[in-house]
Amino acid sequence: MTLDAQIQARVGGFELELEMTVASGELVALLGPNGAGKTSVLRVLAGLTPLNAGQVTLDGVVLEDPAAGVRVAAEQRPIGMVFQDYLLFPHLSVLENVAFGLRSRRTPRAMALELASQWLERVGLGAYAHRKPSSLSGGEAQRVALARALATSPALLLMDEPMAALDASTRVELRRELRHQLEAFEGVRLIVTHDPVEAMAMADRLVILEQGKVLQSGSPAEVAERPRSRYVADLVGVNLFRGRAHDNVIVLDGGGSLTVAEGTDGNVFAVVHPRTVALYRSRPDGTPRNVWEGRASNLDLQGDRVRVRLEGSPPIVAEVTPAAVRDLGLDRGDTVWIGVKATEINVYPS
Amino acid sequence: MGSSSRKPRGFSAPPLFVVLAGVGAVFFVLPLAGLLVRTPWRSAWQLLTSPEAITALGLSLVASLSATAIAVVLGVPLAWTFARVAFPGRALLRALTVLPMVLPPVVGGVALLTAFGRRGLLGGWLEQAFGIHLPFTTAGAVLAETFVAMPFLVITVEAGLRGMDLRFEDAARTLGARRWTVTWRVTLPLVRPSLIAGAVLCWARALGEFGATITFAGNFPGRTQTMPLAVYLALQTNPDAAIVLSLVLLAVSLVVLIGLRDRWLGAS
Repeated sequence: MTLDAQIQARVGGFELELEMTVASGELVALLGPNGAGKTSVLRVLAGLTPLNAGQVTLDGVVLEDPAAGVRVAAEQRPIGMVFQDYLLFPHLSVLENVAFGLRSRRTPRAMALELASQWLERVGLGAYAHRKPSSLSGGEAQRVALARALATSPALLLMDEPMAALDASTRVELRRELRHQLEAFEGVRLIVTHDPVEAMAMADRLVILEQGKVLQSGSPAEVAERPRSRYVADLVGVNLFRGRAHDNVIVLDGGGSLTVAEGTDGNVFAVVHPRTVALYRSRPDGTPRNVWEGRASNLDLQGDRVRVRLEGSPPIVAEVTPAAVRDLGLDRGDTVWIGVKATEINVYPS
Repeated sequence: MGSSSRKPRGFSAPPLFVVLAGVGAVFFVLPLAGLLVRTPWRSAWQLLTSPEAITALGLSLVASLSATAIAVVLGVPLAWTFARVAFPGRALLRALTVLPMVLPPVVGGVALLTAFGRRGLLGGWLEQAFGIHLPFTTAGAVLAETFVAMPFLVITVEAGLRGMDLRFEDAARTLGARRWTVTWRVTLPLVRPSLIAGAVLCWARALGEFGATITFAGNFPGRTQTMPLAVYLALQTNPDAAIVLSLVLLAVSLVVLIGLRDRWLGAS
């Protein structure tokens, strides 16, 4: 089973233009900053927002194709959707909420309630059948919402920020549980999140969305290794530079240059991990190929490392030990020498 | 802001304000006190169970409940249309719909005559085609009450629909609910508090309707003479009966006010 989507849509003065393919074996996370259009993508796939152009195909069946005049209404698509704050119907019991989809699709009442209670058992909430949603905790509401979405046996499951409404303290445990529940689902799974940790922990593949466009797609490791935007670089905590390479030298777009180990030509990204950035009180002799001066604008203790933000050409973030900071006598506003080895710079075409 | 701004401030009001506020309060309390003081308690039950009073009471109940039923059946779709459908002239149509709330009821009665009277826009045709004659009938009294009271239901339900989170309807659609199922099983249950409040307001207004009813339906005991009309008539012949009937209407209003106090007076 595969979802194929070429999406061109206008949502509230905002252009969505992207392509994505999701196969049923993988759990894909759509990751991006707030306002990137993630929820809009889900609404388009669910049929709640119309396409301007493009095509949405699920398992070979065309759900929407404006050019051909095809548009399957939301209520007729084989989808299940978990909304950001779950949107359980407050006037119905937990059991009736889960049975709602089956009842809407004309399953006889008794059978719908029976299937719904089986679903509640599967998510471990069998004893909650006759409660009202308002009496549930966030984690319980999430599981009811999942059961409700899955009860109609959809081919495509869409989840919008399933963790956002939960307490930070319960999130890690519930994330593991959700991942476990999702593994049992055989259809196509697409999850939207703005939380990179959540995305990397849950998904087999990330699709990075920014301003309505896909910037990058790949496994969490690939994306972390080769970020293609400042947003992703910040997410994974690395320095990302963009520039033009001539042999071993990259002239950076933001000023400054870097010497790298292998010669390339053309527009490139260069990634420098903060741990490989060395700091010196005076100009170092020889060893690193890249040496420049920078002013420490911020020092931030993170666990056993200190992240030092340095203004210079180019600006860069270094991660050093607290002992090194002490030895350097480094404080905010001080000027230090920055060293980066050519072999520590990861270069790839942009 | 918020809760702190609602608490009484420390400084006292200007003396002139205190005096005027006192006069204003007395103005409301005195007539109600008068009603209670002048009530002939000993003969109250007898007056209330007189055939005339029973007839007026029964007719009032039937007419006001019928008017409320019609208002719900027609008013909920109207409120839904105003809240959800954008069409040219919506603002104007909406204004016309709520106009009876501020229109002198007697004007409403005259207007109803020009529409449903024997020579009215629709009245003549109704009589020729179906033999339906509305003015000066019980149906006419129901019509007059509906005209005056339905706006209360429409604006209350419309406000409820506008305040509702539309994503609940989206959720229902993704679960396979068609339009009618969404409306019946999600939208209407979610606005149920507004629906109940609107219906109660509408019923209370219908129960007290006087001007439009007497103008359009006349004052015929057993046919169109509802409680307020009976009060008005009794005042000239039997003031004690008028006071007792008034007390009944007052009690109903009080119950409605208390029942809806959360909506109007806050939870306190």
